[in-house]
Amino acid sequence: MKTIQGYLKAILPILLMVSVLSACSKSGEAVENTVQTLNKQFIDAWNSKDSEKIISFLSDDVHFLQGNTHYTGKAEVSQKWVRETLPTLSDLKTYTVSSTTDDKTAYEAGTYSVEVLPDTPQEPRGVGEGNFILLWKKGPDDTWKLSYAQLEGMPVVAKR
Amino acid sequence: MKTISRIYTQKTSVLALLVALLFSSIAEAQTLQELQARARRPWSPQAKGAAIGTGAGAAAGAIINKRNRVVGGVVGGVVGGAAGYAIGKRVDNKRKAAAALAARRAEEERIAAARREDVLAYGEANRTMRSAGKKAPSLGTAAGVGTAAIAAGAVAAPAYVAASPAAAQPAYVTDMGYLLNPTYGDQSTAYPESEVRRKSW
Repeated sequence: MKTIQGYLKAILPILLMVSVLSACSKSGEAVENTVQTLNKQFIDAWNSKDSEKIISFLSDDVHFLQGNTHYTGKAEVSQKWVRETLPTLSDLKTYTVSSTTDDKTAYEAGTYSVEVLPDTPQEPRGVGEGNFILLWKKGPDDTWKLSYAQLEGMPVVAKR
Repeated sequence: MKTISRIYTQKTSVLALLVALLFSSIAEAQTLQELQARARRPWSPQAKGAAIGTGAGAAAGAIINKRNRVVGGVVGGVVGGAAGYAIGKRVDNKRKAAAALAARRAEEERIAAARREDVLAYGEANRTMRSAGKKAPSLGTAAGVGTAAIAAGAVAAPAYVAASPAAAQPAYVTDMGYLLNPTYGDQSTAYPESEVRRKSW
């Protein structure tokens, strides 16, 4: 009987360590999944032309950088990036090259492709490609918000 | 009698030499006006080459052929003239090729400048329309855009320019198949210096 108790005493710390590690791993996976879900929802909102949903992802102090432009704050980014760009594109796809998540920040970076819609029927459609980085931060209310977005576009190829 | 015959032969040879010297410069002249016009114009490289070659060849031939300097001079003059003409022709071809290349580059630059102006005008028209709350115009209908400036120069342009794909393509796509930047020159946009559109997201 004593032998069994001795075995249990020896195994108990190991079992505890395994369970703790397992919980941590599940927590990390959950965060990773959360960020992937957020990014998917964000891109889906662009493809469904839902400007209000896109804007709801932006933090109050969000930064948007692209070429010569640097917009700051939810109002400016909403107007000059989201609302002005939304009617000009469709079929946005992202291809993640790198991503990392911790308790408070998460980012995804990679390349994107998108169909560029013409202003008038006479003009051809285009296919745009470029690089992106989306940085998310967890707010005091534990919700993830887009804090920083940087896009660099390549020349848009006319669709034949 | 023999002496008279020899003098006669020498005179004939000298005359032939003179004819050979003059031939290169007057062969193509048809009228007196043409001759006068040619006299005013600088010599062509072929004429220069032929004249120099004839002179040098004749002198060399006369020196080399000690037995009959006249015959030597004539033969040397003909050979030297032909060689000089060939050299002059080659120089002329090179000059013409360089001039054609310069003209072609100037034409390409003119078309590129016209296209830049068109894109600028399109960007301006686009901004005006958008600031007025209207939908952006297509490049084909924007003021002064695209084909107009190129077509204006197409009359004076060489045939290869008029037939080139650049002139045939629609104005809103570049030769390389990229869309033109509708906000070109607008410093408040992401890529104001880029002639082609880069903003897609």
